[in-house]
Amino acid sequence: MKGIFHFILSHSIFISFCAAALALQTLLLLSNPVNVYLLALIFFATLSGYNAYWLTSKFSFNKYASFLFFLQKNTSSLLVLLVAAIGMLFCFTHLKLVMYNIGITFIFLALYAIPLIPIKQLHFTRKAGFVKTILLALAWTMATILIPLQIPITEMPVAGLLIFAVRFLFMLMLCIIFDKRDAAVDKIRGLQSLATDMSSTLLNYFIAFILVAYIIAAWALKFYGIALSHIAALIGMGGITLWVYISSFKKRDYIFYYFLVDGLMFLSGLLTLLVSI
Amino acid sequence: MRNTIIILIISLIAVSCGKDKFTTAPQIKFKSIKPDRVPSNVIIHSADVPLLTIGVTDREGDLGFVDGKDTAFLFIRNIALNRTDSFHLPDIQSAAGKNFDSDILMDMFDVLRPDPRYTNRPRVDTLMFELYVKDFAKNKSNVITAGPLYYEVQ
Repeated sequence: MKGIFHFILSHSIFISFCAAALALQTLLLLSNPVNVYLLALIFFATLSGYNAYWLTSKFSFNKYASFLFFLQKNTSSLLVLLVAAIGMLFCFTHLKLVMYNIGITFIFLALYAIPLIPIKQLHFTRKAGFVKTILLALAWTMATILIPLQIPITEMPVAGLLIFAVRFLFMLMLCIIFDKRDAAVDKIRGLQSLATDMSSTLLNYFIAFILVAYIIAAWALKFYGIALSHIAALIGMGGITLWVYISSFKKRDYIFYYFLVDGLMFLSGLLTLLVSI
Repeated sequence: MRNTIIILIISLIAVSCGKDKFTTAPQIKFKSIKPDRVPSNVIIHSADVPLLTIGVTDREGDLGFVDGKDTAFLFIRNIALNRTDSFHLPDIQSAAGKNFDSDILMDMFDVLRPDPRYTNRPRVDTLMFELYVKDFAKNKSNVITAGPLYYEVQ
């Protein structure tokens, strides 16, 4: 049982469910019908994206005797990546997507991954600092807002734009929690992030600022027809995220980050689903 | 969108009709949307997804889909959203012919969206759609209005 739980977390299966949960939240908040192919596409795209990212990261920062040895050492990740790619292709054939949204999301993710590429000429991007964090939060926002809605950002209603802002700020808080965890390792590897660029005190002020902006944006949804129960759920999630951020000040294990912190996304989607019933 | 199901039901009943019934440009008419009320949290492929039925006639019968060769499209505009989607018709080579008379059934899941002009909830949006068809020769049919479809925004 413990092995299965570990496999689900370490191969990004749980975080992929979290992405689908956030996409469902978007559809419910904006009263759009629920297309399970779209949710499945987001699940498989996250699964393949993260497994590809981990594989690239392992290859980039570890020494392997040969490429074949690297493949042997990471068979399970490669298998998950293959299944995710097939799943993505299957969903893709059942959808006519706004490719513009997919393209922009892919560009953000590709930019985020550039510092990991083992090419010396690209190593200057490892000094990108806060850009990396912003890119990841933006990519998550695009993937869980614009892709499920299937409309260009220019055609989004005001409520949609506010939900975009709420999601971006929420994801930014989660990214900062991870940046904070990785700060020591990032410094060793010569990578920069918000947590390496800012002092702890400044980072706390920054989180407080993001949280206030998040609550204001969530509250503003009241003027665009979003039910108070939904707004309360979003604001409640802000409070829980702050609690998790404070909890991360102590040394925490892998389950805290990959189940509890990532699980905040799932919880957010679940709360919206529950108040929708 | 590709997951939209469009079915052509070929009418086998000989109908006495005026000579203008079959023209080079397809002619369409709205028949029904059933059910005409749908909740906003409807799930794809569920029985609650409305089915739009329109009648289509064409002299040449050059409609449908021939893989790699020709495609006829149904264009549908959600009037409130001012957004037009197009769907290709299914392969009907075995049935298509001169003086073609058929019904088009369309699963409306992909065109369901709330009316962006309103923000209060819960509410019921009255959705209307504009439709036309283009045959293989790109002849455009008459444009019809279909609806109402009551979209329950929750």
